[in-house]
Amino acid sequence: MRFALYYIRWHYSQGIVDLIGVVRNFIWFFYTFFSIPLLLKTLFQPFERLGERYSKGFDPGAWAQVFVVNSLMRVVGALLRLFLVLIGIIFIILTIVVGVLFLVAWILAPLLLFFLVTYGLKLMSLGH
Amino acid sequence: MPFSTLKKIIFEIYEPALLLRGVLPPERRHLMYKNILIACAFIFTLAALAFAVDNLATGILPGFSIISSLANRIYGIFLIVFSAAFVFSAFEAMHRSYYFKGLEQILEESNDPVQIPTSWEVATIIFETQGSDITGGFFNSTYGQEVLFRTGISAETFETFETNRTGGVQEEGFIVERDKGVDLATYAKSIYKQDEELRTLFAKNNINLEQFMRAAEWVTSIERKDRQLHRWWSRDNLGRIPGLGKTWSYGPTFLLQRFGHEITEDHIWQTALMTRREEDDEVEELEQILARGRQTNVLLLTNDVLVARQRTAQLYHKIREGHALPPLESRRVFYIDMEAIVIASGEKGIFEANLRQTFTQAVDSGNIILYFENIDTAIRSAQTLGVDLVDILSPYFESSEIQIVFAELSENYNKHLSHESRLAQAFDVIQMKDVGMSGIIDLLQQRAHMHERRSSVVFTIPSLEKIADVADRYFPTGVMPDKAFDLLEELVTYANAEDIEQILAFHVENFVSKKTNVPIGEPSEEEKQKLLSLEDVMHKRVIAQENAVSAVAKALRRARSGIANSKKPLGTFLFLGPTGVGKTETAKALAEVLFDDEEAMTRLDMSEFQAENAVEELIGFADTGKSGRLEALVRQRQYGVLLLDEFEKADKGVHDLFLQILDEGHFTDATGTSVNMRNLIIIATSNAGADLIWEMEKQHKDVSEEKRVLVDYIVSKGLFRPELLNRFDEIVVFHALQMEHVREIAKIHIMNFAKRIAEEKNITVDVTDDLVNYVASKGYDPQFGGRPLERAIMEELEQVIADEMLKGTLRSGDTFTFQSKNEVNQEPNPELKQ
Repeated sequence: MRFALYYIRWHYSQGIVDLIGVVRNFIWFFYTFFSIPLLLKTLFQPFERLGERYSKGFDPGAWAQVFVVNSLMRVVGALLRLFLVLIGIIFIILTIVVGVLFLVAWILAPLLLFFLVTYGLKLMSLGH
Repeated sequence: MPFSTLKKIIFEIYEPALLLRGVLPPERRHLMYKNILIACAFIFTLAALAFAVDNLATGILPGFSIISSLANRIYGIFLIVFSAAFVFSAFEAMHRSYYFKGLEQILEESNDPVQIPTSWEVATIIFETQGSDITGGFFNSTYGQEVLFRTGISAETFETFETNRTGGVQEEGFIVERDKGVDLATYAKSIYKQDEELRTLFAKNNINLEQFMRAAEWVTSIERKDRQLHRWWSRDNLGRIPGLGKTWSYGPTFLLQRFGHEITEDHIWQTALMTRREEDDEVEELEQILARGRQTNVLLLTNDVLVARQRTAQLYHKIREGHALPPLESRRVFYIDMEAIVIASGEKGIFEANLRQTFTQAVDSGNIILYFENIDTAIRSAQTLGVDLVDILSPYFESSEIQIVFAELSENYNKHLSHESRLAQAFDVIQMKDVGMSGIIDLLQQRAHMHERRSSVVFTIPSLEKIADVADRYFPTGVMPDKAFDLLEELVTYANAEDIEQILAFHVENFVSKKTNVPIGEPSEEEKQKLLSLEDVMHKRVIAQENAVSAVAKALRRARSGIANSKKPLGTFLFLGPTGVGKTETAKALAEVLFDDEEAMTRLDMSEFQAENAVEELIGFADTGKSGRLEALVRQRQYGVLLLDEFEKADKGVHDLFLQILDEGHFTDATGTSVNMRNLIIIATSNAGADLIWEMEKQHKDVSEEKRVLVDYIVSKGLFRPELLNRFDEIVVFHALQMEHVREIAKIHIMNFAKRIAEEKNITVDVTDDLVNYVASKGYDPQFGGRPLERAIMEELEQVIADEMLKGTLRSGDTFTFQSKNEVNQEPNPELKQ
């Protein structure tokens, strides 16, 4: 009996804190795993620093060619980064949704359990 | 704090989890939980199948109609089993919530981390303690038994102790000390201090409080590490999964990977993580310099470059965890092997190109910290190709795009690089502290646990202390703690081969003894006998010189009993005396007795080291890289007797070198590497003062009694400086030999010859007094002592026998008997007995 009381107290206090902590950890994880801050900070940098160096001396043609190549690398880099950031955001949203659902289930656990057991028993008694 | 108060605190904090532990012990709970999850998964599969048959495949799978008919029941069972699994999971979650309470986190998950006054380990011990017996409760608990095991005290020994003890610490009156809180080590310390019988048991087993606490701390750290790993959803664990897109904003690093590796791939990486909380100030200093806007280069000066690498790796851990200063965010640390670039290049042009390309790639990449070791050696290697390394690298020193870390031995830097102003200007110097013995044992604990996970071998605290001690002492090459790690690994293989489960200190001693042939640890009965009768054994070879032999024997017994200074050579002696009185023979006898091998004696003729460059001849030449004679000899034979013949003739610089060796047991060679001489018995011989010894002998004085006079005489002659003489463990004076001594020596020599010829030619030599007297008279020279004896035997005995053999008058199976007519001085008159 003492254990049951301890459990209920924990379930609705530290248990909820722990659960929120786990969800927060996963949000943090996806945020860093998909390098969201780093990619946003370096959004317009050339992909893997690929590009060409501007030659010395005055040669507008060569300059324009290098400018186009380097700009293209920046565009490619930005697109790839945005794509990864987007996937990261989707994962974070999913984590939040699953987390909220789980939290609701946790809070309603006694009712949910009662329902599952009674419904389970009812199904068993129904037969085919 | 009284025990009752601690108990109250523990129950306030941990009671729910402890209650669950009481109702369902961990093993049982885990088994039940596992079974229920398996059942849940099985019924879920059945339910899914039933659903598929019922709704999607009616009529297609007629064989499964029975499942379809039971569909509702299967769904019902699944819901009930699922509910049970949920309940079990919730209970497990509650247990873990308490179990992980106060667990240290590197990446903190809350702004207000929980401070717990007592640890989980102490809580379970107190919960598991039956009755009021605190000592018994501790050692019978799960964690207590682990601590006992780590001290190396066997369970049987403890059982006997428990049966025979009269008291022990009881609950009432037991006061628990608290440092920051009450953890396993503090609790163990409290018991140790208050239980006298326990202290006696530990003292009998050579365990002191520090070792007991270290064992408890080790158990705690293993337990915490396990808990940290179990908590897979922690930021510490999730954060170790490599992320995506981290390198997209930076350039490629293939050249850096060709000539080096990222520090994450280094063997030191894990150790760095485990030990990084210590000496944080060095890591912080490194971090601050590297995070500056310009001139971000660091020179780490250390006595062990591995320490520098470890600190650099610790900083990299910090960077990867997102805890470093912002300018270092996303930086990658590469260890570059400059020697590899030199070897791969082979010639000047290619080397310069490779070097420039590597550094340019690091600059272009934009997030690289380059780490190099032994820069002094690299500069020299580059010089062999005709390249000024510092000159080539200078432009990169100024770049804000890369950071460079050089690690170098302090000694090498002071000797060869301190005058290099280009380095001094571009680099900030951090002088690193040594790891120290305690730090090495910490590292060994981490390593040992790593091996324990992979094999059935388990280490104890005394065994790790022994490893740290003997690795430094008996393995002269290499650096600590690397030597200790190597020894630990070899011990794991040895223990597996020998079926040893628990490695104790004496296993380490046995292993090292076998490997090095040096007696280590408690002497065996046989060795004890040998040591106690050292004088008798040596006198089988060394005639007379009682005082000399006795002095040497006493010094060696001191060394072997473990009371001598372990930072010095095993023994250091200066043998003074005229030529041919047994100085070299004593050294040989010592080698034979102690190392069972006369060849264990290495001889160095010091008269060859009189020139100005004598010291370099001995320790090596820094400019050409040619190694020295002493260095080569010691590396060849690290254990044994080193005989320095005619020591007085060596240059004064050589005497100064030995001043350090006799004092500290090592010297530094030309490359700056320390050469260990602590496993040698060093014997210097000299006939300095021989004329005074002669005078004393004439006056019938006991020379060993007049040692002080002799030493003063030698000092006054300027042959040795007093500080050098004072460094020897013992100055041993050998007196001149008299005719009766020479007879004894002659007898030994003749016996040896007789034995040899009997074995090789099957000829028996009849060793008579006449023969001995005759040879002794021919081989005695008051000035050269017994030295001419060998020649006398050769000329007067060997030659005669050889002639007889050639004539055919002496054949295999014959006996040679020497017969003199009257006097000893008579010419030989050999006669054959068939």
